[in-house]
Amino acid sequence: MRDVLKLGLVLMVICAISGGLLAYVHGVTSEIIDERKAQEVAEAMRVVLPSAESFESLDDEELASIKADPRFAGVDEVFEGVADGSPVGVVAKVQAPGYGGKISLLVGMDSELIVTGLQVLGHSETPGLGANIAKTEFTSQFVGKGGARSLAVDKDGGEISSISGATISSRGMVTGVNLVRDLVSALGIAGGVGR
Amino acid sequence: MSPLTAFTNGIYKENPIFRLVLGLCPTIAVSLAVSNGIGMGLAATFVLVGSNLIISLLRKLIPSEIRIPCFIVVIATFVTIVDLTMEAYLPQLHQVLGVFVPLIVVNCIILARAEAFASKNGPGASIMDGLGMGLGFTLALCAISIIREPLGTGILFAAPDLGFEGIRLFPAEYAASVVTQPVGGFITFGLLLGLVNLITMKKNDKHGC
Repeated sequence: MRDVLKLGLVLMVICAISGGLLAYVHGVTSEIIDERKAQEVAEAMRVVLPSAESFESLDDEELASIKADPRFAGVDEVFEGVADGSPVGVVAKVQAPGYGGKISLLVGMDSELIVTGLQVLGHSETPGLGANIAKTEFTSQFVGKGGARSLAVDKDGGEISSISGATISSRGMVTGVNLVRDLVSALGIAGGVGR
Repeated sequence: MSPLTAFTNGIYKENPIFRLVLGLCPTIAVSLAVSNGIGMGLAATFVLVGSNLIISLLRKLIPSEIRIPCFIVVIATFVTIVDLTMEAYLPQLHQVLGVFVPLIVVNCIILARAEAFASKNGPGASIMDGLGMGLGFTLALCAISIIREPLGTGILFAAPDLGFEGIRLFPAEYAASVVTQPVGGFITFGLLLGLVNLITMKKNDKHGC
């Protein structure tokens, strides 16, 4: 019995030292990491919606009501791009289904539902195949497309040429972009209609 | 064991991948590009040296019944510190290594060296052992990925995160994408393991096989 207590105590001391050390390291590094991440997101937003001068995040209540709709379960964050005091488009961070897991996408769309920019923030697709979705060669073909019709890959009769050997990843990207398109048109965020 | 033997041991005689056949999961997963192999190898070497040192210093304080949980706590703490520090101060490098840094925790080479070497030897020898094992791991990763990368993609030494496109050896249409799958990883590894065994046998017994 005494042995068990002694062993437990040793383990506890080691874990406590480790925990304390990690708490300290986390405290020092988290500020730097968060600051850089926020900066990266801000830069990415400017790239995907160049016409906007500033971005306003939707407030928590609005975002919660969007997420409550099962169609928009993949929506993470929504920002409204503003220029000269009037909304020019939307930047949304969404999760799309990929082959190896979720693809995290930042999509910029103007009020005409045309894609203004697209950036892959994170994914776990197969290196050399599905991972090519993050390359500009693939993402750039979305830019300037959209409008009245939702997008589709060429195999499904659409205008996006999918990456050979990675149709599921390519479809996932299209699904993500269409999600933003549906979001913008359903809520009329960009035109301010639905508010 | 002299520090020099402890160092060279890990590179050839007890190479973690080709002789001990340890840590295959990260090996198969990351040996798709030489740049990944070097990144993973160096990150693992760093953790290996650090955890070996700490465990060697603590070896007389840790009761043998609970040594495994203690080792794991030390290793996981080390990996997390490396991960956080790298993300904060070396974001570029952290992006290159990405998921490979947290993957180091599950790399059984590190636990194996803690158990087999650092818990029985002094800090100096343990550091040398960590360096040798880490370097042996890095070399083995490079050996596998230098075969898999060109066969699977047609490109050698691609490092997209460093802005280097790599050397294209042949068009992508001729690349065998199965080599980039785990199956191709195991086949490549098996063939290399056989080659290493053949060389070792020839060396040990000039008349044999």
